[in-house]
Amino acid sequence: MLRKALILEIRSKYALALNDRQEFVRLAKKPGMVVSREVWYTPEDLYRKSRVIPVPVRLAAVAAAVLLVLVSGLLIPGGDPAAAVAAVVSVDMEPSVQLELDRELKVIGVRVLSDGGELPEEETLRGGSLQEALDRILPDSPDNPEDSTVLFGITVLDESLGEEQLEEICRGALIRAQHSPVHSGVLSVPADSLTGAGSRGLSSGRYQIWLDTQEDETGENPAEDPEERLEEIRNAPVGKLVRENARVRSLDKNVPGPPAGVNPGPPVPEKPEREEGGADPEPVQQEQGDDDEKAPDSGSPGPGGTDGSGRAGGENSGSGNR
Amino acid sequence: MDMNRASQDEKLIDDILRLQQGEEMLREDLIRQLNPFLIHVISRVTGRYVDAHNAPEYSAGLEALSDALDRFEPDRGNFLSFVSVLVRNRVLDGIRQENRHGNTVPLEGVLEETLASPEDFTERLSLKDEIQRFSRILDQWGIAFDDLPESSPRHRDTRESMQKLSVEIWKDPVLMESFRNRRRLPRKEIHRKLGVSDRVLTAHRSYVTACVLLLDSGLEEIRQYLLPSEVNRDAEKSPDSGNTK
Repeated sequence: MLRKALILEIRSKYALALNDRQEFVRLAKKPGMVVSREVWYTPEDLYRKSRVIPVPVRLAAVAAAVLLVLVSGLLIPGGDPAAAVAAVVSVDMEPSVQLELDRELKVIGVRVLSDGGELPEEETLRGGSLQEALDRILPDSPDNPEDSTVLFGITVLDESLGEEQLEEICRGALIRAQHSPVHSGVLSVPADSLTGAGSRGLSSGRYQIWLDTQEDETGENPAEDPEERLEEIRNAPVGKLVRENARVRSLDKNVPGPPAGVNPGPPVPEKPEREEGGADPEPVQQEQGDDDEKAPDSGSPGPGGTDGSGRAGGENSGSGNR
Repeated sequence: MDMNRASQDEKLIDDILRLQQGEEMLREDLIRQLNPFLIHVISRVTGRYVDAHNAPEYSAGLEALSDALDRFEPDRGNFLSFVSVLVRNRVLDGIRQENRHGNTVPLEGVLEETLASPEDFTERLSLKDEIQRFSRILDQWGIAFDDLPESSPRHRDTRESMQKLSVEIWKDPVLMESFRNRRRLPRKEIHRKLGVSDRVLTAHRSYVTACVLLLDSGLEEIRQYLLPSEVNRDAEKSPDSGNTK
């Protein structure tokens, strides 16, 4: 977020300024600052007092950080333990691969979960964006175009990310793939399924499908051994999993729904009945997407102008608070 | 704010390609959209804040950005990285040229300023003078500029309320007389007459005091910065209740 500020006073480590939202702020001192000059600044330029932390506390903090790195290294095999995993996207096709992402949706971890097919080198996927990784992973020409199917399993671990955002990226990758898969699906995977998936060597998508079948044990074969079922799911073609599981959402409008006799999915809401003698019930409004993209703030029009962004939240940082 | 970054990137690339195919009307819009990024890159390259009014490096950066829009090829990499490289090179070239031709003027042996025009210099001096006078006025009320960040309301609604409150106080002769005599805001009277809670007034006391002093001071240039235009217009409707110069 870019702001403009009028410099009022320059001190040894910072300058006092009045910004275009009529807030007084402290800006980190930089060369060339002059009183009465108006400058552009970003939140990173706000001055923050460094706090003096007692040495024993600093040592304890360092020890705790080292322990955390070691422990997270054990829990996230194949991943970079130093970066926080903000989301996991598993891609089931032939082969299956699981991508760990940071908050910027950059790939920080790659796990190949099955053999078969060709994958780009793991190192070429790490560090790139999710979009780039998917573009490399999805095949240009599938071995069996008739049965090319992709199942995406999406787990969001960081609240700042949205599942829809990840789903859109997956959808975009499918569109860009030279030979779009015949079927494609996406499944939401809760965070607490990841550990179980990891311990069984399954992608999060396949593991969640297995968990769903365990919950739905009211079918015709309730006595089926869960471990046998797990192995079936592990080895099942992706197309079969996508077609037969109602919880898998289609990413492609051409994907047919589950065949008759298989779990029909959640009930469709009934159309409201017309009351006798009354007016027609209100039609159900379809939610419209927000077409108006909010342009990034490029600063207010000038002195005295108000900021139209409506953001609450100031930028005072005298005590180190954001 | 949760943004669909991937689709925004795609839209940006689409717009750039359309520009390259002849839709020239997109150029201005793209430049406006990318302006915050441009300023961020320039600031990083120069190690200074970019002057909002007079910055040769900003002009150089704009040229480089426009160039980048014409030359970018999506299959050769990331657009923002491409822009960063072009802007950086152009800005550094500009700085080297300025140093070679000696366009910088030492002032008072300490400061260096690049002069755009004599008018710009005069305006800056006038504003600088007002800032210094405002600082002295605040000092008489026991307030320094350094006290004001903590006192500034963070929420826009609160800030607007405090600004409007300042105008109401300034318009009220009885409140202003009490304010001038006691050298502080008459909180009880303000609470009684204008219904503002003591807690809010205490939290933003210095900010409100600064706004009232500014209204009363006749310092017109800096007043435009501290009070938004609609508050200023409202203040101008009432007769001047005297000033504290």
